[in-house]
Amino acid sequence: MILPGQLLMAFIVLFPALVAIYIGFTEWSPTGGDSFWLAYKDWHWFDGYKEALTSHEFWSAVWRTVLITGVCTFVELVLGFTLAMLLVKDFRGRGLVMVYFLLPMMVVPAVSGFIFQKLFQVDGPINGMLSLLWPGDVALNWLSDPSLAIWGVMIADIWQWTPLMFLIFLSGLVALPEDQMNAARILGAGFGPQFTRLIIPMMRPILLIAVIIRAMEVFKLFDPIYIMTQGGPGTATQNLSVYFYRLTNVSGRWGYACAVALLVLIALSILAAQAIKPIERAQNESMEELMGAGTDEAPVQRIEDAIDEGARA
Amino acid sequence: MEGHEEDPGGTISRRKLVAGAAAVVGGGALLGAPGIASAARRAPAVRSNERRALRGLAKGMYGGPTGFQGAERYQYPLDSEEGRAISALKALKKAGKAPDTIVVQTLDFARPQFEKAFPKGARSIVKQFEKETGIKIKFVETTPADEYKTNLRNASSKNSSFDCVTFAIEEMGDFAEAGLLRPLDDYVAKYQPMWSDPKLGFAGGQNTVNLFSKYNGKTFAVAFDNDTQPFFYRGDLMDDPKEQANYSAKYGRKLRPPETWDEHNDISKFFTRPDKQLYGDVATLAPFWCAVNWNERFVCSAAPNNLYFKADGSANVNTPAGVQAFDEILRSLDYHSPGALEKDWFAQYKLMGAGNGFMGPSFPNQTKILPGNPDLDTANVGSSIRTGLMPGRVVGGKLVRRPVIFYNISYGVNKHVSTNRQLAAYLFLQWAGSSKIYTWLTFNPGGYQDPHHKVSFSDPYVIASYKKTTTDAFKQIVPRTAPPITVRGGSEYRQALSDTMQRVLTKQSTPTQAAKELADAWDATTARLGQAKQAKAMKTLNLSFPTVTDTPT
Repeated sequence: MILPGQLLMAFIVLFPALVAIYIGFTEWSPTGGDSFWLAYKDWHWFDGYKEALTSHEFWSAVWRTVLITGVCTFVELVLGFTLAMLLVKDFRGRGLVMVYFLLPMMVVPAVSGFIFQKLFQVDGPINGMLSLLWPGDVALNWLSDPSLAIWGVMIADIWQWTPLMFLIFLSGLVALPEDQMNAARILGAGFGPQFTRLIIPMMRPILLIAVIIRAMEVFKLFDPIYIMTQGGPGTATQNLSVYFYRLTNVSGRWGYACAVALLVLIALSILAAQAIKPIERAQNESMEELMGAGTDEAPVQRIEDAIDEGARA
Repeated sequence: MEGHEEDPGGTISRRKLVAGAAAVVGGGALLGAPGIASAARRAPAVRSNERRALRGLAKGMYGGPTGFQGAERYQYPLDSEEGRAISALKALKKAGKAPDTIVVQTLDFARPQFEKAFPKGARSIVKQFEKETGIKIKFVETTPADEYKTNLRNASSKNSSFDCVTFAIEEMGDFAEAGLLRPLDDYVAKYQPMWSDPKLGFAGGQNTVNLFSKYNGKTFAVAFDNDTQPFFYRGDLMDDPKEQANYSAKYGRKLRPPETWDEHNDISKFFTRPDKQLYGDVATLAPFWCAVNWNERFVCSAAPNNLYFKADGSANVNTPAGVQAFDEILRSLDYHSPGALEKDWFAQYKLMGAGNGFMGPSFPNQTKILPGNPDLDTANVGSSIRTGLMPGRVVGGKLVRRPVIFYNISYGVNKHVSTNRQLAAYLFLQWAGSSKIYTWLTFNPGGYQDPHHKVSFSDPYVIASYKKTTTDAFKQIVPRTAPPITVRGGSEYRQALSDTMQRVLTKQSTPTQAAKELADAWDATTARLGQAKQAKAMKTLNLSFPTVTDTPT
């Protein structure tokens, strides 16, 4: 018997997936005049896939997406973790400072794109501030210089989403077992050993989850790029999202867009499967520790390592 | 007596204007304009018609606005394009076949011209329509950024929730082929809009009708705009005797609005004075907005026109003319203000209003919304802006000048609604897009739909709104206007051109490489959409190119 839940899943997941696979084998476009179920009239088997795999524009978009994802996720990770470490201890006005740091995250991405589009104008505030620090008038073409525009877009994303990393890491740090930290500190482990031997290992699952969440989000980045540069100048900031947007909403190439989307989906599924493995491993280790797994050797070992490293230092 | 009906939307106020950009042209200011003042001194018979128009319809008139001075100019007899539309709608209503409401998809910045009453004492256009037909108008808004993708979805889902479709002229082929637009030729034959009438029709005659309304030999659009690119310049600087003398001394010829792109280059250079924050060229170079500048330099490279495509449908741009157009625009960067690649049309208006720009092609309403607008005319130079013809090239002794249409709001009829709704939608468009009603619509300061009928350019209200310099120039501009690519794939062709231009302007491609890249991109699009089919549609597109050439002076 087919359960209603399975039917619902089929409708939500299977139907769109099948339509995408079907259209991906065609050159169907809404400007052709036929309904999508008649897309077989433009059937061309794997031509769309071949075109994508041999398209310079597609691979450029892939490369830019990877670059933006890598840089943004890494910088957000470092900044977010640093901020979380600085704010984990209570101090006067901490609440206010936290709200201040979290504010960018509350901004609608399109609005943040608009804000940065204005900030990065040649006669905008960023160049204005740089002019105060640098001799002469700084007139960097942040958004219309192909080598700078991509950094402008990344700065906008880092500004907006570092707070999310900060929030995740802060909640992780607050939840670290205080007894272990105190034990290490009392037994002479300094900050460095505590950080490398206790905090990082215990935070590993959270770090991985945060990185994967952000990487997935940055991979799909669209609003700020489109608002700030529309993928330009030329195609200098065109990532996969903007590439899809142009294929569907400018060129009306829905068949080809489906083929590209499926290629990306397959590639991402393989990557995601690999990315999930360390999370599972880290989770299992944590679970074993939590459940005791017969002993409590792991935390003890970590504290001992931290003390040893402190002593060596 | 016809009393004045208060429009719920109210009359126009500065704060209500679209995007905060449109200038207020108060009713009082208009009535004080020379055209209006002279109207009051006309013959007694005319004056009596005017007095009657203030109260009701003038003698022999079937419909049209009342309640303001000069309203009789926009009234019409039964045997007119407006009269035929209204009487057909009344008949449809009487037969119980007319819809209660016609749903019109419209752009956000176009809507106020339909809904806001102007001038003082008038009804709004939609209230006038409702009064005459008993049929209501409901608007569903979209924006220029969303309209194309929205209509792609509407086409694929056969959306029948609205009757009139709005689109840019470059998208006509896409939406016609998508089956979203109904061919209108049977309606045109039956209800006879006077688009090509020598007196009441479009300023460029049949060529302009082809340009605005036709795709692949069939009529799909009713024009509601005139995004022909006029050429604006600072008249105060151009006429300054000191500047004249300096220019003559430097270039050995008189300073005047440029006739050719070479002359344009010299004048741009002459007026580029970064120390005084003055730049010679303000042509828009931002993505999307930049494309038309290339068209204008390209099309005038042959007499009467350099066409975008060859007869077999292949791109005609990897040619010396294509390279030259890219090269000139790249070199023009030296005469642009910093950040020119980020400046769209609105930034261009601000630049001109701030006194930082000298000249450039732009949209027709620059002289309508800039002068006196506190947000734009910050250096109080708006009233010095003059309008002229696009520069061109001398080819075989003939001067070819080709402003090109860009964007241009158009309306069509949704093919997916019932036949009665289709007819009612068309008749509304014929009425609202007619020489009289559309003229009345365009001088309304609430929106950006610009005039294109011959009679509009002599209308006192339109002159007061757009300024005489622009309305006079338009009489010359429209007959010389060339089309953009309006065949299927128009949006994609335009995007490829915009991307290629951006690569040239940011030195990612040389002009020679760019011409080849553009040809390759256009050829790929053409091949995918079917070269033979595209070539056939392009042949019709070519009919809308102008043939007017001038003698160089």
